[in-house]
Amino acid sequence: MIRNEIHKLYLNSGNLLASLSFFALALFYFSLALGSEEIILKHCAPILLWLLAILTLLFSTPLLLKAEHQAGLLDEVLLHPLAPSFYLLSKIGAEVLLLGLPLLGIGALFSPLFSLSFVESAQLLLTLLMGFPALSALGVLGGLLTLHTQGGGLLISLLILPLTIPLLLFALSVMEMARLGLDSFAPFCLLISVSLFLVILSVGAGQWALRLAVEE
Amino acid sequence: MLEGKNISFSRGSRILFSALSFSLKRGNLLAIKGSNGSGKSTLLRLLAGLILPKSNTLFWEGERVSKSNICLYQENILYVGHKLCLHPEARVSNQLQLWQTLYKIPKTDLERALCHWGMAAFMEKKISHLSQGQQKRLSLSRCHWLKRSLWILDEPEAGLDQEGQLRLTETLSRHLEEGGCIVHATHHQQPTTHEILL
Repeated sequence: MIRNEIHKLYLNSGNLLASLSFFALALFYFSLALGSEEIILKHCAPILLWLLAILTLLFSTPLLLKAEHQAGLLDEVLLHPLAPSFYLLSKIGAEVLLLGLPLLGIGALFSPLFSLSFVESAQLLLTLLMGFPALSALGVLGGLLTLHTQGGGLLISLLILPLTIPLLLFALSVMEMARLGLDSFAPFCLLISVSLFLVILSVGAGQWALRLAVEE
Repeated sequence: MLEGKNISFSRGSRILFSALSFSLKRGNLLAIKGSNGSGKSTLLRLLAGLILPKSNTLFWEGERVSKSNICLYQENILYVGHKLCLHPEARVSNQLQLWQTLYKIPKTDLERALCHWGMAAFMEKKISHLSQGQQKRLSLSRCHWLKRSLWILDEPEAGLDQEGQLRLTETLSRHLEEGGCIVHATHHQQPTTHEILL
């Protein structure tokens, strides 16, 4: 099923490219806007990268789901012998591969603009990599919950965005502790745990939301 | 094979249908007729398990269809609704690949079905560029390779030309002869074993 989802996502490469371009352009503009003060740039880089990744993932997935729903492809998911949770997990996996990894690549490419050393940028990208499955899962859940609403973006901001706060806090803690030369293993483990918890929560709630969306 | 007892459905305060009962055996065709908006598609979605029956009134091979066994029931269903379950951005060949990986069907079976529906010449055409009738033919090609005993079809003849309708009739007849069961919504007058008028 994951091959199928990768294929479907690849067919929507226009949307995918638009999301990646948004991420790259926003990152570039922010690096220009923040000036050349190295301390400010280093301080702002983690939160900027994380916020932009959250916005990119949370608002691109619902568009894809809407298109799938209009084509009746969500009916096919429910009628398929495999449980809907496999579909949701495959979708998350496909997004991490086709959207998450390119985002990391762009992040790595732009890290010199924020005066990040190799180690700092590797740490930052690692926190993002750990957070991507949760962000993608939340995007899927938000998309399913707002499938029949107009102006779903606002609802996603209200319903889903608060759930990303723990991820953001632990990721920033990892970066801050590393910057101060302290052991960042504990917040890193917490970040992974929260990410895993959010994936499980989103897949569980997503199955219910999927049925609800199809029944409407 | 499929039995419905006192099936009712309401949306808000509006009752779409109530106390519908039917019993279908192998080789039976149930035609659901009614004016636009009378609830034909909703009834079909309910029979396909896309809307969960609230009062457990559907029976498959004598077993009550409920939340817990709906997946087992759906393994027997082929559903073609108004939404054709086709990826609009895909080419016909891409759609075949998607089906191939999703249902583990040999490519030759898919191509044979496409030939039967006269769609073999459009393999490299984007689905969104196909006409409504061609999209319907592509969607109905599932009848040939998805081996399911209960077909639930929502106005399958809509959008098809005369030749397409002949192929459809032939396909439906063959399925019934092979012991399958069909429930379809239709506005056409054709011989059926059972009929529900909404």
